[in-house]
Amino acid sequence: MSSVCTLIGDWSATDSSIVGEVVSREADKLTIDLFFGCARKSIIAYFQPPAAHLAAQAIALPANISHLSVGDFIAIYPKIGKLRILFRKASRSNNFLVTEVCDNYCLMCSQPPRNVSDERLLDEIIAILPRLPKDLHEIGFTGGEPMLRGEKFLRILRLLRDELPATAVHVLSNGRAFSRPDVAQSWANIRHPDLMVGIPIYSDQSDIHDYIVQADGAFDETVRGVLNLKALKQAVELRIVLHRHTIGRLEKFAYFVARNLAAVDHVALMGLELMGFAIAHQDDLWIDPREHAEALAQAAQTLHWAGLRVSIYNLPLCVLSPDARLFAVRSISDWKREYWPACSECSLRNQCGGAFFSSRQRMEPYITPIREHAASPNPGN
Amino acid sequence: MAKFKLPGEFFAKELHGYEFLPFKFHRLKTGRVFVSNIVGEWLVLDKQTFELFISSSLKPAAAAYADLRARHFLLDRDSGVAVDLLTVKLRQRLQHLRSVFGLAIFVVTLRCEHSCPYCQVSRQSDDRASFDMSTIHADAALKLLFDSPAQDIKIEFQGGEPLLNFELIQHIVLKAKRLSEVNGKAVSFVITSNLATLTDDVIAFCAANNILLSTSLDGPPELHNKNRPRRGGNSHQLAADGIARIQSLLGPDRVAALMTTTKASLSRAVDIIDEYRRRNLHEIFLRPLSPYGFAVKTNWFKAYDQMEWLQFYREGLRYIIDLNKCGERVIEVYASTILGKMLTSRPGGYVDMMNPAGIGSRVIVFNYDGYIYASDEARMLSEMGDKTFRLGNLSADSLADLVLTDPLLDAIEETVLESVPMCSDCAFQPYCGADPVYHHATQGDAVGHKAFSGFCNRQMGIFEELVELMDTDPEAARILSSWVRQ
Amino acid sequence: MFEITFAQEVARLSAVKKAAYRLAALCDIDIQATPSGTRCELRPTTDTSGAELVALLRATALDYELREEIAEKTSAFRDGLLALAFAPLTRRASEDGEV
Repeated sequence: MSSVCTLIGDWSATDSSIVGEVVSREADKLTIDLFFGCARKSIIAYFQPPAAHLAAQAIALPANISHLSVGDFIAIYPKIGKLRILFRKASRSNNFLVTEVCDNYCLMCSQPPRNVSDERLLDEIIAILPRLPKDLHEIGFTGGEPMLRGEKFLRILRLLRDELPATAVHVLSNGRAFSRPDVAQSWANIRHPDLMVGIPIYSDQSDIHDYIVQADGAFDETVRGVLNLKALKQAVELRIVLHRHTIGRLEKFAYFVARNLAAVDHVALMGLELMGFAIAHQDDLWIDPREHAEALAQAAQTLHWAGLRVSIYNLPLCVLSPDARLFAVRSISDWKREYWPACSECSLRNQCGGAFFSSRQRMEPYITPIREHAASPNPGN
Repeated sequence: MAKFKLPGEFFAKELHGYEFLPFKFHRLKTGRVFVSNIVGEWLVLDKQTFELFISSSLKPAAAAYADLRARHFLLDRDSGVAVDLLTVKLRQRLQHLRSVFGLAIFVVTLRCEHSCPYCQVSRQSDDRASFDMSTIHADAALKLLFDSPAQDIKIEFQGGEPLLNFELIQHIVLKAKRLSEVNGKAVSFVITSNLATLTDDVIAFCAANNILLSTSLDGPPELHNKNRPRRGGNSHQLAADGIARIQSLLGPDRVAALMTTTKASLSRAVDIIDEYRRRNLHEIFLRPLSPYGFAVKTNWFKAYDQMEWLQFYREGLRYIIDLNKCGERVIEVYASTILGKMLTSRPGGYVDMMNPAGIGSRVIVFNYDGYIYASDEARMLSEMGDKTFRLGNLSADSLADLVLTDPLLDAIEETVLESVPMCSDCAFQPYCGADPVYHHATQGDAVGHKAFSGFCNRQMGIFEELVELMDTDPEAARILSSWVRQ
Repeated sequence: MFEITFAQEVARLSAVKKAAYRLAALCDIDIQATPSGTRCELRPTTDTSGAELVALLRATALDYELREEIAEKTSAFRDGLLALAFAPLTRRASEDGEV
């Protein structure tokens, strides 16, 4: 998500994007070291630019990124007057956008694809990686479809292996590229110490999956991709987003995964985020979470009993059946998470991950405080 | 924003119909039809749907179509990945062929202070020289195991009453642990014992070395003591006390119990299960009587046929399921073993139910006298005078000699279910096993005529019971599914 | 004496034999090839009636005939699957993957 900023002074002698690191902040004044995209080494940025004493070149920052702090990295796009935060030191999970190009076109895509030449995004990432803190816990890569950037993206992963060996890496991919054994092998050859790819599969039925991702043959490619990766002992997470088209066969889907893809390292059952295409399709996609509570609990149990690690994301505990609560994970990033007034009376509020800000209104009718002296989640079941 | 395509556009535009992938079927007593395939996927169809399916007339809109497709019974133009999945799962199922000696039974003594009529082997005797395993043999057996390709070895101490030779158990455990550190193989231990001679020393040793205990509990006191006589008539008391001691000192999951069914047990399924619950045991193995040893001599085996036993089993299983429905977690182990094969793609490791047979490969038995047997039943058969499945002797034979003997290889090869009458067409084949020793003992031939086979009748009865439960009772189906957890 | 004759098109000989094998615990069955088909004579050996056994044999033989047909339709797949399952993994590189 980019923000508008105002560039003060002459920025003509720069590339289309510039990358910098915030090295100091005093009140509303920040010093940013620049290391990619322009000759200048440093710049001053202001949230409230003072009327006088402005440097020849400076940036006026919008209020909506007032949390920007030391150790954060930004990208500046002088030609369009925009700015993007690439990395936030204080965040538990940073995700880098690798490309906006994708060969799927999911009905509920929260980051709708654009057919653009955005290879520069990779260059920005390559410039930043050596400067990230070595004790960084984890880092994520999303898109679009990162694997469409092929060898250059794999180069980034190798760079991570060398520069940040202690950092866990999570890549979101539709998995289709891995249906080619040589691609799966190249991935495995990276030999990253802690690399996992998250791959969505939406049904046990090829036509339903292909419809949801709007691509013929996607199901076959994705399943083959998962099989190829697991044959090479690569870490794979399966993801499914819960909405009207996936709920109908959810238990059957869980059984399918338990029988066929039991080698995967994790299964994520995810509440719908109303962003991107999901907004346009919400009347078709949205489903009252209580309608699917039973199916969700059964699906999670089926996977769990078959020995798979399962997590439920993005759904508040009160809309889950009690059998499902032990799988719920507080996953929504701080700035997207939302609670409701009723939550102040809920005895499980501190364990609950809330829901997406984007689903706030839709979810509100279902939010009911739980008043038991609850049981912390029961591992015995 | 590009136009979004409708669902119908993703279902092969011209329906070319479907092809069949290999499958088998079995008609249930309810009239519905059970179908299964080579990797153990299955479905139950109503008669009409089955007829439509096999006449290539089933329409995609039919409720069963999607399931038949997802479980690889039919293949249509929409997706080809079924073949990849079948291949992967088939490989997995065949994997168990490569794992050897997962179970090594050490018969450390034949001596026992009980005299159970159904026992195959024990001796009332103090003659240690004649009936105890020697250290030399124990060491030779360990060498054989650790030199073999086995990676994960479970050593099970049997007898007689193994605790009567506790010193040898200690020796074997400590030596095995040293060997496992040196050569990287994993090793675990179980002592089967009637617990009558359980001491604090034994418990301490088990605690220190992570040893599990397995005991016999045939039911409530009067039933148990009738089945399992000893001087003093207090077998049940000692077993119950032993179980309680182990649970409190080592932990509730450190002791398991098995029951053996006799004629007297057949009307008491509920009482037996209640006794297990009373002892805080949540897993029960409703076992059939095996046709070996003293049991045959004393006519106990003929005392009932498989039909009666199946009645007993059904009653016990349904009672256990009802307990689960009321929130109490109790598992029937025979069912859970079968369900593991029906509901997951894990290769099954239960010796008596493997195809090809697991005798002499998955399991090996080192007898007190240095002789080596292909399975515990093979040893029992030998006590009856039939040494067909004796593989060799620790003093004389190398590993290769033992496992490449013709009687063993023939027994395994000839009984492979895919090539045996009735089994080759049976829809329950993926979940069943060859039991060459049983058929040899009861019919004189390792393959056996399955129409006359108590093993087959029993297995079929259980398969049908489980399938009918899962097909007609959704709550029971959920409960049964939960039993596959490892 | 109880008997039933199966025309070739209704149930082939191998299907009839399999059915007879399966019922062996309930009756003795003599099988003869005749011009009109495979003829079976049944003698009950338990208390199941002859009429029931004939019905059972008919139903069982038809089912075995169906199994033969299914096996014919799927034999190519079955052989192919077994070949794939037993084949070495030559399409992929070694499982450990060299850098």
